[in-house]
Amino acid sequence: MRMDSNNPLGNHTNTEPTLNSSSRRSTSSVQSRASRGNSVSGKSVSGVSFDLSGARPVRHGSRGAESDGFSMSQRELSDEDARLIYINDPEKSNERYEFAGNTVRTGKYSILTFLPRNLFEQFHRIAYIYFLVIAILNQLPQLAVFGRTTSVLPLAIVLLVTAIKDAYEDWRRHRSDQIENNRMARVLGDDGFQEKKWKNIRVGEIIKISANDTLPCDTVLLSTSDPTGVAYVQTINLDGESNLKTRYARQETILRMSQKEGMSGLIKCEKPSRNIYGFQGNMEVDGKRLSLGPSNIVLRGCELKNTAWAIGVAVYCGRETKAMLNNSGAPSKRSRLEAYMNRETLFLSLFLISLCTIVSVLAAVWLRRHRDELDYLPYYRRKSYASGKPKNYNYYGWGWEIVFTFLMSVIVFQIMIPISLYISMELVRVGQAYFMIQDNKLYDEASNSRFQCRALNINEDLGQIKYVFSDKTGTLTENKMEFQCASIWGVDYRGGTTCVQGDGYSVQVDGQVWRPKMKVKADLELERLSKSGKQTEEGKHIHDFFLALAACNTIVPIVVDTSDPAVRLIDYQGESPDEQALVYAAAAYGFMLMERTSGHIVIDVHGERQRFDVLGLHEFDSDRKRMSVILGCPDDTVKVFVKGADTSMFSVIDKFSNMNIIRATESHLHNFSSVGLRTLVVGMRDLNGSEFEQWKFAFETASTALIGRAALLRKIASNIENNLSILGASGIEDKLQQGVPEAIESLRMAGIKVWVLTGDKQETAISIGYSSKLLTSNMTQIIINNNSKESCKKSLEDAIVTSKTLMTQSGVSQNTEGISGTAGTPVALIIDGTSLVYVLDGELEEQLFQLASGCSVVLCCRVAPLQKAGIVALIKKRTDDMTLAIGDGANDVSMIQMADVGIGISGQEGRQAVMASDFAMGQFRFLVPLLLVHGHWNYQRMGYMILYNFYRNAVFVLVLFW
Amino acid sequence: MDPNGGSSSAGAADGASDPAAARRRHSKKPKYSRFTQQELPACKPILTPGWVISSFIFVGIIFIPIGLASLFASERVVEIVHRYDKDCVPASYRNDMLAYIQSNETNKTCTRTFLVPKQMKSPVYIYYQLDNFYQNHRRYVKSRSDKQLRSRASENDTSSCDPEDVTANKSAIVPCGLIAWSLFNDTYGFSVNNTLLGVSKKNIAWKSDQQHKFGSDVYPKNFQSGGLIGGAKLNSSIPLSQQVDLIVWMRTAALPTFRKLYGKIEVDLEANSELTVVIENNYNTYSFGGKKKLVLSTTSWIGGKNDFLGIAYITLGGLSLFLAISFLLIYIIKPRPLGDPTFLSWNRNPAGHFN
Repeated sequence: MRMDSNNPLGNHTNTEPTLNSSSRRSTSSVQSRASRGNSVSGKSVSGVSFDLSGARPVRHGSRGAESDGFSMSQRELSDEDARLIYINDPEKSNERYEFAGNTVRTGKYSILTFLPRNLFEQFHRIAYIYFLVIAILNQLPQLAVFGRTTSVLPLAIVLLVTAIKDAYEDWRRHRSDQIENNRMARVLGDDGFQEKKWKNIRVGEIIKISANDTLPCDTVLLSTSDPTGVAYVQTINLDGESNLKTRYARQETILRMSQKEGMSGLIKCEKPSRNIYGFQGNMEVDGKRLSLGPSNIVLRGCELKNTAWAIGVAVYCGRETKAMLNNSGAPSKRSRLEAYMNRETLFLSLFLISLCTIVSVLAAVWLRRHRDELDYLPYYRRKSYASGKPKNYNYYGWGWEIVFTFLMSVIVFQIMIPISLYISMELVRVGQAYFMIQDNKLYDEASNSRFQCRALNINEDLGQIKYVFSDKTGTLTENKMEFQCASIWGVDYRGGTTCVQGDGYSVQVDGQVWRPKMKVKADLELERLSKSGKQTEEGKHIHDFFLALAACNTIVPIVVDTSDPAVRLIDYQGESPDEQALVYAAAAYGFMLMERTSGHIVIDVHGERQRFDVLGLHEFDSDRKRMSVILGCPDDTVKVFVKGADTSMFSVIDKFSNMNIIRATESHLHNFSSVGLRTLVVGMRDLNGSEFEQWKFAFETASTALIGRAALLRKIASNIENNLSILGASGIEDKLQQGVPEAIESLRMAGIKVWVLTGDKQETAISIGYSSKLLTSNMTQIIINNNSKESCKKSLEDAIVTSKTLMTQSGVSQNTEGISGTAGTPVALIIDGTSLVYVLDGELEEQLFQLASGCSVVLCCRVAPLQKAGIVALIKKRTDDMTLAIGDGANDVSMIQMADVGIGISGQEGRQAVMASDFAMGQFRFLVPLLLVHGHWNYQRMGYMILYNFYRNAVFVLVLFW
Repeated sequence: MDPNGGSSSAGAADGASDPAAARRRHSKKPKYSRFTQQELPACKPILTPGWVISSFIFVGIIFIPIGLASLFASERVVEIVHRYDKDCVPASYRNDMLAYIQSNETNKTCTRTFLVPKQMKSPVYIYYQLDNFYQNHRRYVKSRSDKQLRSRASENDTSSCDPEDVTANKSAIVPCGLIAWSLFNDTYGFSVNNTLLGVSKKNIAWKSDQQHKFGSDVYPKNFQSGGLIGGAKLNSSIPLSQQVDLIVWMRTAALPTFRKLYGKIEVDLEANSELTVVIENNYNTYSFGGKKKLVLSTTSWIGGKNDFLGIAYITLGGLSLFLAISFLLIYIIKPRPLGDPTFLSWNRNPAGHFN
């Protein structure tokens, strides 16, 4: 399934770039926080058709963001949409439009606006309005039931306390703004770089940042201390990911900057947007047009690391920076209990109105009956004789008296509507959150993280969960990848002789020992063969295989000093754990990646340092599901190395030359994935001169293209990734997290259905299912794996029939046994992403739901992020049961936001899931104490409290009424 | 991968001690306390049959004697209730009682005699009981000025006293307001076997009212001088703190039928002695159909005559005993094991739910 063919939105101008881009993304670091704004604003994401491309099988899309940014550039930057920035000429840049300065204001109020705005915000709460209305009614002299001040006082105190709290918080915000705004940065002036306060930086100015400095605004890199223009940045302030990301300056600007004659040029880029991972624009320098993508921009809040200095031009300042645009709170969800309570409250208001009506009707009847006596009745005395002439005292006629009686009874019976309950509930929730945060059982030793309550108002929903939707990678598994085995040229190197040797592989550099930071278990046989060099055919293939592993990635090696001066460690930093595992593996077998710049890489091959020119790199994207690198080898040959998911790789492998090997590899792959390993296939091809020239030309045109850059690049990539010869396949183990099988078992015992939604392959998913006790051997598996709507429908119908028969059997056995819980034949449904595309289209949803609700386990593999949300929505729409989604990666964000309760695992894959979640914790197994202990208590206690309040108020009111 | 170094990392051994120590120092592990871990001792009784039955028996055993005791005490109280509002109107005025009570010429004195059924030990309390008089009406309740009653200085503080606040020439009425204005003004004189009995008005008002709420320097002024006379007049030479009838009246009753203390008879009344009451029937309850009753009553440790408390105790105790016995019978005849899961809602309905 290709997005372009399916998605009509794909190629024309889209009005909602963020939404669209978020739906395109499926790579790990890519689901932007920006897209959250969208998905929050309407939970409408479910409405978007789930026609995006299939899931990602492996997370090695390191800079998929870039291709994503390109895909957005399918529309031309028209002059109206663009902002023009004249480099080093802030006057001219700001001439036509006044761009925002770099002053940031996160404070909500100023001294003047504080009172009205704060009151306005506070009165957004229905409780306060109710209190206010009652208090105002009480101010009318005819109605004053309680003393005037006493009715206003409580409200005033609550308002005052909240206002003081808000004011204090705002004051602190103002102060931190002030500190932030007065920080110094070095800005290019008339005579070199001068210190300048952050708040005075303007768009178009050139800024120099030193190592470990924080960026004052969003800047396009012009030059860095690295001759190739690489800069490493840490984006921990922005998205919480602590690994280093690479950003590049364009070669042309590096040259210009080095000429020391000042810089001028024009940058044309998009309007400020919230998308952290998207940026597009182009730059005109010396009449040449250079394209700019997300890899050329460094955002405010990032820190420069491992780079002595970097020079950039400010493009977005102050509140227009992406960091500021993303400054928004967590999405708010409503608890089921509260929704229920609101309904009850509505009933109570009706009850209150009827009570008041009864009271006023009775009052009317009484007044009518006694209308002749009223003048003299000692306890009523309508007439006042004080001033000689009798006149009515405090009596406004029959009609008015009834109205007043009604209003007065509203005041008297006001507690019937338990508005104070809302406030008590809030307090109780704070207490419950405190208990949950403080619970030692929810503390994760490994990541040193406590439980986090990010949403305060759905605590009690934790006790009502019926469905748990779990991501696999990073949630059930640790996402600590470990290279386990390889199949090279049709030979499975998986002998039992794997062991860790001494210190592992190491390299001597300038008298120091460099060693990879992570040890990998190495197969002795394979190690021996790889050392034997290229002489034998086998050795040659092994050489190529490991070269591919070491080269075909976007990993950055960072050399770390250790306490021992003779030993230095190489830490491989990258965005994809799979790639890290592969590079560590290659290093263990003697192919150590030593250095990476944007132009070349240095690989130490068994003690011999070799320099490879990186001529081109095709990023991983979720459509191709592979990446490739074009290397100029030391022996002047040009090779293309490709690695990717098996499905996508086998389609581009030259089938005629080495059929046997393909077969063998396929069977090995099957073996690997059946033991729960993640697999990748590696292939390569020699490029001859003309092919290379052709590709180079195409690549250069494509990468400077303004329209449809991503599509062009993708096309070029598919052209070159062709007729590959297969090198082999790798198997990476994805370890299960601690306590997962037990946790799943307990959840099942509690009657909670656990669904696993993963982007992995079916075999991998099933094997993980077995190892996590999700699937058991006595289950009947129904596997739905279809390529068209019709076949999908058919298999669904068949499956329903099968499951029904199994169900009835189990039902019968249940009746005879008289004990429930141990149903005869549990059914497990396994469905893949491609089938889900057809199912979630609409008509088949109902059938899937029927089927799935009968199954005890549902495993969805190869699902895309939005499909995950779609599945959650499917259940949410059709049942009243509460759903919980748990995940750790950016691809789980949509699911987390869709579910009634979203839980983020603060683990390996960045913090987007945590940012979008309602609760965050360290381990999957914490779900058990969270749901079964805290959730249960929260729900029960809250329920008791609400009931108590209702009944207490009813007693009060009815006694008064009597 | 984890930049801090995983446990499997080759180099971790070199600096293992440092990061570990650092981690311990920066640990966010919540401090253990029984409160935060919700492990404080708690008592949640499970309602086992033994528990339920024994507590019901206990309640029954405690309540029934209490009920009996209070019933007996109430039984010993001697109470005479005599309604006189109708009987004290001469036959000629029976059809227009309002005219009788509003007229100044008619003779309001009325003599009633009745037998004392049992010996009444002193003190015998005299109450007047009004029916259908809503002293709790909001217009009525609010029509008073506590400040004015308390001190002379705020004599003119009559804003809350509408419509009895000031006289026609704008001078303040003391005590102002509807409550004071409608002060009860029937009087009773008692004699037993033709010997006059003294009625003591000592200590019939609350001490705190006399001392703190009604000022000793506040004298009645302009009282009942308007066009409409509501009730009794007050001697303007006696300070409000000594006007005990007013003080009693100003404590408004919560219910439309109420008794207020009129005075005490400090001698014992023998059984079958003839009690004669001379009633000055002045108070107008005829306009709103109210009833007036004279009540003579002794007291016991539960107060006046009140069977309700005893009956309530006995009923509740009896009910508890009954429940205890029936539970006991059920428990003996048809016992079932405690905590049987098959009775749970989802187990009772086999089609409903299985995981």
